[in-house]
Amino acid sequence: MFADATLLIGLLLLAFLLSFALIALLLLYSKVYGRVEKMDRFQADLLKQKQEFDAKAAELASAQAQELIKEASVKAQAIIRQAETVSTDVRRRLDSQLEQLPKAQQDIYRDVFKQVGEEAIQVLHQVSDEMKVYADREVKAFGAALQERTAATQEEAKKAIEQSYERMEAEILAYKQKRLTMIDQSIHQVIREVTEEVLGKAIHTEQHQEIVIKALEDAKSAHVV
Amino acid sequence: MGMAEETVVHQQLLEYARTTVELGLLLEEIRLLQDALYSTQGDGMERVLQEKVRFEVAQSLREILNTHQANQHELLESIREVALQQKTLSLTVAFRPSSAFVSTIVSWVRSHIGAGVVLDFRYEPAVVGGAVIEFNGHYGDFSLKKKFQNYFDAKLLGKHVVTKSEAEPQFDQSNS
Repeated sequence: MFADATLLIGLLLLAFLLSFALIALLLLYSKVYGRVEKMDRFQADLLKQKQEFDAKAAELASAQAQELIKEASVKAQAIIRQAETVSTDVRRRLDSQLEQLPKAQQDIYRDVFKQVGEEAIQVLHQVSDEMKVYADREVKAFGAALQERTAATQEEAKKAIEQSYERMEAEILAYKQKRLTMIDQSIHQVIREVTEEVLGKAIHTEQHQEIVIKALEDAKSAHVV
Repeated sequence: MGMAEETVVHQQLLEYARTTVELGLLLEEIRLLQDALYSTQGDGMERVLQEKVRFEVAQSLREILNTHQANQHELLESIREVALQQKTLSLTVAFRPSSAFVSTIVSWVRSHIGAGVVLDFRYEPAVVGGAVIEFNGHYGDFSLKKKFQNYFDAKLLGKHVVTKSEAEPQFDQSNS
């Protein structure tokens, strides 16, 4: 009984504590949410101010740039005008000084110019002549080389033809010799056959001996023996 | 020994040297006898005559050497020298000559050319008949082969006009 009462009191106490903690948590959440909302608004304000500032800065920079360009243009026009003025002035002064040069000096200058011109023409003529000589020499050298090469080619062709001819001649000679050897080999058989055909029989030993004696007599007549 | 007697001896022995083959045999026989002369054995000469020398040659030599016992060496040397001086008559023929045929040719040679000639027979069937003759630096082709060749050349190639006697071999066919 006592224990149940203690447990009940404990539970009630715990419920109270939890309710209190929940209330405290709700209060804390409400406070934090408010701060976050405030910070968002502040950030949005800052962004808007920055955009406005950038737009103003760009507008200002554009105005300053246009001003600078305008000033530079004005200065440039002034410089160009000044330069034209100086050039005209220099030319006028040079003409004046030239007009003031003595006539003798002008003649000297004119002679020098003329001499230089003549030398230039002479040099050009000389160069032309040298080029002609050089071209003539080169043409002659080319002709000689061509003639030499042609002669060498003709000689080579001649040698090649001669070698070919000699080779063919040797081949023909070898073929002729071969054919003659074949004929010579076969003629013995032909002669034997012809002999037997003509004489009607083979030669007997006695006939051989008679023919040899006849051969000796012929040799004596021919002064071989 | 007198010159005439020596010549008779030479001719007697050269009867056994009718051909170059026989001449070679005779020279070898003489060399063996010359060697036997200086042999320490007393019967060396006779043994050579009996064993190394052809029978007919041995008979002749025995007789000659017995007759001239005083100068056997000089006699053999003179025979050798005369044998070496023989002239060679070369005959290329189309058959193998018999001994009788050799004798016939030797007789013809001695009667028409003279002594001091040996025969050198060469067998060559291709000459068909007749002989190719070489003697003392001279050469002549008197073979049937040559006659046929001349005939064929004249008939077929027109190289040389041969006579009928050249074209046709002349020999007596009455024996056949």
